[in-house]
Amino acid sequence: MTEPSNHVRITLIHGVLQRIADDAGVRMLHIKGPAVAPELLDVKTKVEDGEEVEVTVPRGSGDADVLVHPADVRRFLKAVHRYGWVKKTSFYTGSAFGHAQNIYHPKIGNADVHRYYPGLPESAFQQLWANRGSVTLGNVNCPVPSLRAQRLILLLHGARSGPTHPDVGRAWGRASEEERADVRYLAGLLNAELGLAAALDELDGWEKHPEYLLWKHFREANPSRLNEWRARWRAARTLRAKSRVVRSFIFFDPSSLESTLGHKPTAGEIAKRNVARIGTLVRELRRRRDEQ
Amino acid sequence: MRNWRRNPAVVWEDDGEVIWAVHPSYGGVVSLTGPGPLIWELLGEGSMDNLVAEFTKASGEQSDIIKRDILAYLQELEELRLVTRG
Repeated sequence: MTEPSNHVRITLIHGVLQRIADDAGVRMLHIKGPAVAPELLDVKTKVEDGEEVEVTVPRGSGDADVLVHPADVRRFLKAVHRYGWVKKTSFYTGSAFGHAQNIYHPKIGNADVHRYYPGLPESAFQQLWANRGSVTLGNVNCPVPSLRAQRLILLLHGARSGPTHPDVGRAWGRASEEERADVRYLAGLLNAELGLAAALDELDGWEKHPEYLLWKHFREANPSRLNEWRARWRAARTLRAKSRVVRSFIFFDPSSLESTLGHKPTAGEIAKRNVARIGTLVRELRRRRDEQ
Repeated sequence: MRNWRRNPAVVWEDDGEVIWAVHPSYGGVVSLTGPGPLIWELLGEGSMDNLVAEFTKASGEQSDIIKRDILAYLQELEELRLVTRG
């Protein structure tokens, strides 16, 4: 065996990033993947030594997710860069919510660095930090949100991932009435009610909120990039934010190509991807026109 | 006799068969297989003397041969920044 399992690899990445954060004095919470509390994981039965035992099923993850205090994000990114991590996507091109930047280490793997969590304002970090717990990952003590906050985070994640994401079942479906009330209370405290509404299919009444269309788009797993663009445009509240929306849809972010190609992309490679991106948008416009 | 120990900066996981270890500044994931997991466990507990005694007892081999082989292994781990001396 020459490669660790994905679960082990992601766990190691969490530990590595915590070591770097400790060194740099960065406040950071570990979320999703192996950082999730056992109470929020699926359980399966297996036979061991002739007896049926229940074991938790590790939560699958493609990369390690960390949530960094907004004031510490720049310092953290400088610190990881010193350790050989490179930027794969920027905050504005990595996601519709502009919340996370993907970083990559050629020898170990990927991580998503969140400067805030979609559905939670930046100011929510203080509350999450004040009530944090900890888990051991890679034999490193890693801070995590409280169990209640982890429920909310999984629900907000489920809300962005289509109508039937299993995180909603894990965080809400199996929860007691008291636990659900607790999550609703926390959502109110942190101004996360819209995201929670999207997770629970309770978006009626939220139509006037600037981010309503965006949450509806992801809740319904709408494949249309033009629909996403419209939703992001509506959610962007400043001129600068709106300008970023336009740029991100027309121009390709070169940093996301670097890890795929294994080298800094040339101008020609970037231009090729931009043409392809615009081509996709044009084809979708034509399809809509022909359907009318 | 030098006291070897795990580098405190190392991040590691035991998957039940293999120890997977990485130093943040090296980045590459190293697998400790065969006697590696036992060496890693004993490094966490005691000194080189304990390591040699345990392996000599388990293998029935001469202790100076065991000591030579373990030292070579530890020196490799040191190059990978997984262990330190002193």
